[in-house]
Amino acid sequence: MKLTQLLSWLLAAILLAAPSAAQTLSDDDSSRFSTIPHSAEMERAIVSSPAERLVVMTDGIRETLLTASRIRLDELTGRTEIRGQDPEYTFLSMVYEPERWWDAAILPLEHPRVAEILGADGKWVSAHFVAANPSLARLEGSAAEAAKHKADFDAMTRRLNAAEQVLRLRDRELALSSLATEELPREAILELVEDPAKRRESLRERASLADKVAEEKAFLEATQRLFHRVSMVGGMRDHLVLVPNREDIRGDWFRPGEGTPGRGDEAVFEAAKRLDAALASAFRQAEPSDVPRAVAAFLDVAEDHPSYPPLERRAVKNAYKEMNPFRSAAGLFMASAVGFGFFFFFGRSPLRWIGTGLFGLAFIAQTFGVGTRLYISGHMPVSNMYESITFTCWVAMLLAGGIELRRRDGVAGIGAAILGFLMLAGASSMPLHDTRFHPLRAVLNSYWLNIHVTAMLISYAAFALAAVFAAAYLLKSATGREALFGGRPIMTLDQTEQFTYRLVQVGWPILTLGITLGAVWADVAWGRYWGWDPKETWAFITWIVYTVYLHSRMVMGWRGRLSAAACVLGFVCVVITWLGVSYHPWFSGGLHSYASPT
Amino acid sequence: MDSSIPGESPAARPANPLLRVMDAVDRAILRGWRVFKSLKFGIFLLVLIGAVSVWGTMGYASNASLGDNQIPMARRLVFQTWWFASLLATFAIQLTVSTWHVTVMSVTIWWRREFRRFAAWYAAGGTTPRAVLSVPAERTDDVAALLRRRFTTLQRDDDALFAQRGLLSRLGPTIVHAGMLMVLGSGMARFLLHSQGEVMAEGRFIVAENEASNLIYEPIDEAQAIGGRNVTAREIPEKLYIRVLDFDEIQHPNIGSPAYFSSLVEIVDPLSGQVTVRQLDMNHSMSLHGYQFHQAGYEAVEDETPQRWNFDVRVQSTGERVAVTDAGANTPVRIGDTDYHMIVAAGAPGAPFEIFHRDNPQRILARGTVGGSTGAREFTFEVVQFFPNFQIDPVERKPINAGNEPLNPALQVVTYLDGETSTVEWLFADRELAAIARPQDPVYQLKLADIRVPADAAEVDFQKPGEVKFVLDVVRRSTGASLGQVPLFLDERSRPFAYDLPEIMPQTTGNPATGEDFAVINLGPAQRYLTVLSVVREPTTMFVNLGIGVILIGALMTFLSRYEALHGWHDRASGRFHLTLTPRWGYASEASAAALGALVAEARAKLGVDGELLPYTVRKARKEATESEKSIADPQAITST
Repeated sequence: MKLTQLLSWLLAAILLAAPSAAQTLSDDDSSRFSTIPHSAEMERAIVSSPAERLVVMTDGIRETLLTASRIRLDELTGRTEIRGQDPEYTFLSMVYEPERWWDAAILPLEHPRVAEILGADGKWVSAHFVAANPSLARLEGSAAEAAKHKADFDAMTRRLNAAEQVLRLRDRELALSSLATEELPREAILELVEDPAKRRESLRERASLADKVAEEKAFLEATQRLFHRVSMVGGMRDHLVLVPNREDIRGDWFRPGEGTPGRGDEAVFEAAKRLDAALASAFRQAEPSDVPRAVAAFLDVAEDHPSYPPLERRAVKNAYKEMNPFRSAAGLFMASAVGFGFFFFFGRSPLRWIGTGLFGLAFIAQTFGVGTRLYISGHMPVSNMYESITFTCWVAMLLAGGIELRRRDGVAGIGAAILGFLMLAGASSMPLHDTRFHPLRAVLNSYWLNIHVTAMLISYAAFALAAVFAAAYLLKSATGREALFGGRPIMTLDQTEQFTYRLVQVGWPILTLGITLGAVWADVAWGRYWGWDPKETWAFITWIVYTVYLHSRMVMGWRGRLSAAACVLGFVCVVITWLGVSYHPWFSGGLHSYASPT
Repeated sequence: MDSSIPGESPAARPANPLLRVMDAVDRAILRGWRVFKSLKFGIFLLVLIGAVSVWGTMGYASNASLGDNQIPMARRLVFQTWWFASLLATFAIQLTVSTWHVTVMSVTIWWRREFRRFAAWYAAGGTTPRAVLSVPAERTDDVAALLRRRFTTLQRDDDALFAQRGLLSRLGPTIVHAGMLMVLGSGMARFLLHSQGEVMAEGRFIVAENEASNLIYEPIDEAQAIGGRNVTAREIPEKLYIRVLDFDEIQHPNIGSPAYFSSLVEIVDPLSGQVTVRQLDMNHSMSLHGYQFHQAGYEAVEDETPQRWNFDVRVQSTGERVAVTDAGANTPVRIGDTDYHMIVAAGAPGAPFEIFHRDNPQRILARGTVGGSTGAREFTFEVVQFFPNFQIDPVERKPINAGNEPLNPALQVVTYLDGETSTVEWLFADRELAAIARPQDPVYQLKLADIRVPADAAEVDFQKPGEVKFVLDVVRRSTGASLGQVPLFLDERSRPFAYDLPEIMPQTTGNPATGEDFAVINLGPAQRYLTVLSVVREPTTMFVNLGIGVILIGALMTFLSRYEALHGWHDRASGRFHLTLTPRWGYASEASAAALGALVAEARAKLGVDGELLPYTVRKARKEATESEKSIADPQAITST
């Protein structure tokens, strides 16, 4: 394979990752940006104030004002910044002068039908444009109709589902009495059970409705999001939850001027009121000189409050958000892969050192990311899918780094760099993954999370690397060439196979341990070791594949393409267990649905 | 297809038909043994189980019409069927046979007498590190002494040696397999016990706070498969019942989703009177006569009148908060995360409370009255009985009216607080009796101020409604000051009377010296919850635990210790001593080569002989080695490469 092909691969990967990096609402997005309010003086005042130390309770997490602002702007506009403005300034401007944002075209139109009904000619509209639109009633009517179609479809599905179950079971009478509800009367189920023609007709009807519902789902969701965003423009103040609460039953925080202070909270409530008044006055009179002093005065009181997170934690969190270490690591892995690629093509050692150095930098960035998330959340960063991918990637890179340091031939380096880039770019850009911190679900609030999930992910990391080596083995044996990319010869087939085997030898016992400990946790939490839940079953299937591979390799000396293919198949099973079961609607309803946040 | 056992001639079969049958049975058993001990058969079974599992999840998962019942249906129609259990049982048998086979191999290798032949095998295979020492046959004792220091066991056959170390590692996989067998066996036993009704998988215990029950609800088998609602109930054994004292929920701030929830329950044995208090949460369960209770969920109860209240528990001397907890009347609750429990008689300020340590409920550490703001409350009063001559019946020990003469007037008054009955008490005109009568309300005290009869009445009928007017004096208990007077007739309610009662200070008689001076303040009504506990009965749990323990021990033995075997023999032709080092799985590694190198270096230093490592193939399939083994007839013929 030529270098040009390698480069085109890398370029394609960069282009794939590129759209996710565009997080700023820029001038190219719309021609209506003249309507966006901006006061450079006020922005300077906020940036120069210690506002970055303010903490806002955001979706159950104590976030810094910067992060909270980005979260809200993302919710409102789909972007974390507006036209290069400081997010904190934008957020506070929306809180204290919402009327100025009423005409700003910052709300994205996510569905062409919504744009068509509203008569919008661009991708962005203002809240005023939507609220005062003469076609608003038509849009609401269309959304209501789409919602009704969905409700009809769901009702029909429930009815057919019930009929099918009644037909499957021996005791139909029991099944009928067990399934019938007020919404789903017994007669309606019985009608489908007794009349096959009717059942077929309903199935046909549902199939035809399914297309319509799927088509309308995106429209309905886009409309609902647009209405929510319109309400957000005027209601941003609801999100300025910055008054800490010492201790009560729920521990809720408050907006300035709201709630009743508990014992000892009077001072911070008063300080919040003064800050609120100062900010309101500053925005109203465009007189920002008092803002830094007001913020500092509030922080003087608030930072003594026991519920306020320590300063160093806020600083680390801000640094984490600013650095975006996993995205940086993804870029560095990419560059490292290019360095190693050039090394294999030109065969010059300095190029390998460049690749190794970039790999090392990427690993440091990744380590910072994993360590920061561990420090901030107080538990192993494995509580949602984003964290689990980044953690697994970190373990895989640790293993690969060890191999590379020992062999120093760039083989493990290039394989791991490409794998690291793909994993981190995927984790950051997949829309299902939420990169934010989220409160831990009640059932995950256990030391078993640190043991069971961590063990599983370490094994996944070893299997991911093993799959890379197995794939290289298959590629090399298929082409019959020692040199994979047209450059210098790399690992022999035997060495490639040996690495695959060793990595599976590392991963398999850890996977076994992880599954076993998971069963013990299931017994503790749910009262049974094994329930054939999809996640459990697919973990078992994965274990079978690697058990077969390992035993046949160890005891029978089974090697070659089939053995390598088994290893790749094993990793496919890992991906199904890890991602497929969590995201694919086929596997919904299991007890392991923790991938999405609270 | 040739069905004969290799190495045996068909001509050797007996002529007697009975013996032939027995011989055939023997052969069938032997053949079955060979099939079951083979790894290939084990792999075949594993692949089959894997394929069925894929079908079980994907086949049913992809059937959208099953909706939320995909998993129960897959369980019922695949994973909990006799044929899947049979498949697992077959695998269990294979695992047993192969484990036995491997165990016998592992153990017998320790006493292997034919090691000369195996030495030749490894040497000929060329897959293991090899070395030669220039040692004559007479100095074999010296080599043996050298090996003894480095290896655990050493066997000698003339001038050939066989040494081993890391024997635990060799036995580890066997123990892992034995543990897996225990787990699989437990699974089989569970399948059988389930069919006998000895297993409960989906039981539910649902009780509200302050209430008790001894019933566990369980879905009827088929309804369970479809997530249905038809249930049956069974009692907790030994007549035990469980009272839910407190349900505690902590939410994530501002979003309302639960961060933690737990139930404080007491298990009451009515026969012995023994009461045990336990706390359950999602990761801490409770075992009771074979039933395992797990915190599964909760629901809010809509009570018309408050039955639980929030209490702020503080250290009275410092004012520092210990915790905020909710409690119902007369149900002990745990105070926050401390080891202290509290019991209050009622929610109202002024109600008595007691605090005790979890380990000794009998010893009251602090007692007092609950403080808190009563606020402006609306009271009404009603005289329900009037006895002109109040006396206690000495036999019945009940109040009776001894006559119509007003010799000892007493009236029974009901107080309604915000429309609800609050207290019922007797008021006396006699000062001494009035002084010893115990006030019912913690805040105010009622006194009988006056009894007014119509001035023009010739004979007063005290029991006639509207005839006699009673005047009650409402006195603040803490100060004795009158809050006002309430006039009313028999069987009539007084006009609403609002008292703006200020905050009541909590009182306590704890011991400040030992930190047991608690103050308890009422914060108002609290939400009452219904706790949902899942209940399972899994008789095989102990064996699964044991199996998991055995697996872990086996894994530790496998990975923490490294097995190595060393074969050594004297080659008469070259006059040199050959050594070959064999790791656990028969394949060479750099580590084993280094270990052999170190041995050669030590031999050079201590025995003063020459020695060198010989070249060997890094990796070679076992199959090739086996073929090599066949070609070697006489190991003595091996010469150095």
